[in-house]
Amino acid sequence: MDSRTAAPSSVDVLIEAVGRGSPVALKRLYDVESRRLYGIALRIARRPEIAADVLQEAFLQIWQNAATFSAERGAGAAWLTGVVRFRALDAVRKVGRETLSDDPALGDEALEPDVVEKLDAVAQTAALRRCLTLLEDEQRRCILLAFVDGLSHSQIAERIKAPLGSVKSWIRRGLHSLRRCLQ
Amino acid sequence: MMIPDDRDELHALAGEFVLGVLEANEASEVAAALATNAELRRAVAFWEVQLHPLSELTSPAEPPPGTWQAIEARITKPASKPVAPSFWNNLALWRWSTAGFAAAAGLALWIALTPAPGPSFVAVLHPPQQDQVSWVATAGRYGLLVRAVAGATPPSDRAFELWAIPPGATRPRSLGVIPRTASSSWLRCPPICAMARRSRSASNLWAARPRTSQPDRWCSLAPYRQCEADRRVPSRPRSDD
Repeated sequence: MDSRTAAPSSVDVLIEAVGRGSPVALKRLYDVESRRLYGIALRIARRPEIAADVLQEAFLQIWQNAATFSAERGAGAAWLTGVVRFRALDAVRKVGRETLSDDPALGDEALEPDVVEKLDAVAQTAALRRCLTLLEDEQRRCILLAFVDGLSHSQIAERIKAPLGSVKSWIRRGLHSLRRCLQ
Repeated sequence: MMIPDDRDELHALAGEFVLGVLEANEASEVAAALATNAELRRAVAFWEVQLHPLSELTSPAEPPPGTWQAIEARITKPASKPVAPSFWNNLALWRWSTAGFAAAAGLALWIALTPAPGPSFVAVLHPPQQDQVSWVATAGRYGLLVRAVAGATPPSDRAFELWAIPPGATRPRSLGVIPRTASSSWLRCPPICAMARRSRSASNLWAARPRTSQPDRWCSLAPYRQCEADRRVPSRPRSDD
């Protein structure tokens, strides 16, 4: 169990302090979260200079929007992940995915059937892991490719050589099942 | 694409949004709808939290040296010289308005562009001849965020509406009604973008953002070009909707 899961509220507390305009809290948040967030940006964007730019923009957005990160949301780390993922996806869409994926093998570990087993066995992950294993293989594979590698419907179809309509349908049905299972 | 009313469909769409599989124009539509659709906001938050553990599948990596210093410089350094904000200088009229009725009597407040501390535009709004700030409007993740910071509660049957006078125009245009019960609210970008498209000086304001910053995907004050791009060129063929 790492420090993040051991003290899940510390990120929330830091975000709240950032929302009050504390640059010190932002620096602390960077110290705590930047490696994790940069890893996510790099996985999606592939190129370090783009990932670094994504991280920079994400932290500016966090600085500007932390005050509006409301109590109704709660999970600060998930919010940070969302900010970075959307920034990274945006950057990738602008640059064009094709120009980035010069290494076709990069990122394919998400295709491994036992990838779900890699998820930490902490309480809040156990439910997701259990629910993912209940999905059909194609559904799980597409959802993981989307989240981890940041691929769009059409990019997934290209990657796994499946019709676009099937990919859309797998993801949609997978999401329906996941939601029913997680609730 | 329309935002579905059906609860199951709404949650599926929110899941696709969080996964990131939507094309840029679809994602923009969802992002814009977040401003007004509480159920959609809850659904997006649900998926962000539920899917978050999947980010453990990505290995952490050390950001390049100097990344923090670059962030720090941008949050602490005052904007070297605020660009002549012709659009925002003209964003001069607030008025009371019964929601939906443009002809309501006006109480003008004024809005000023502060020297922005970073690359985003921040507008401080307060009643004329008063020092007390009532609202702060900032470019945010999903559009223009308007936050009430002091007693800005309208009468029970009224709502605040934000108006702007585009350069060269004689009549103000509505940027949207601010929900009366919310302490903060998001205004959608499209009317702002539409005005920017109609006005060369407004687009100059947009383009004046520091070149180092990425245009914002979510139609905040910066993304004039992105809004334009979304409208014209879907990045991939779309098989449905």
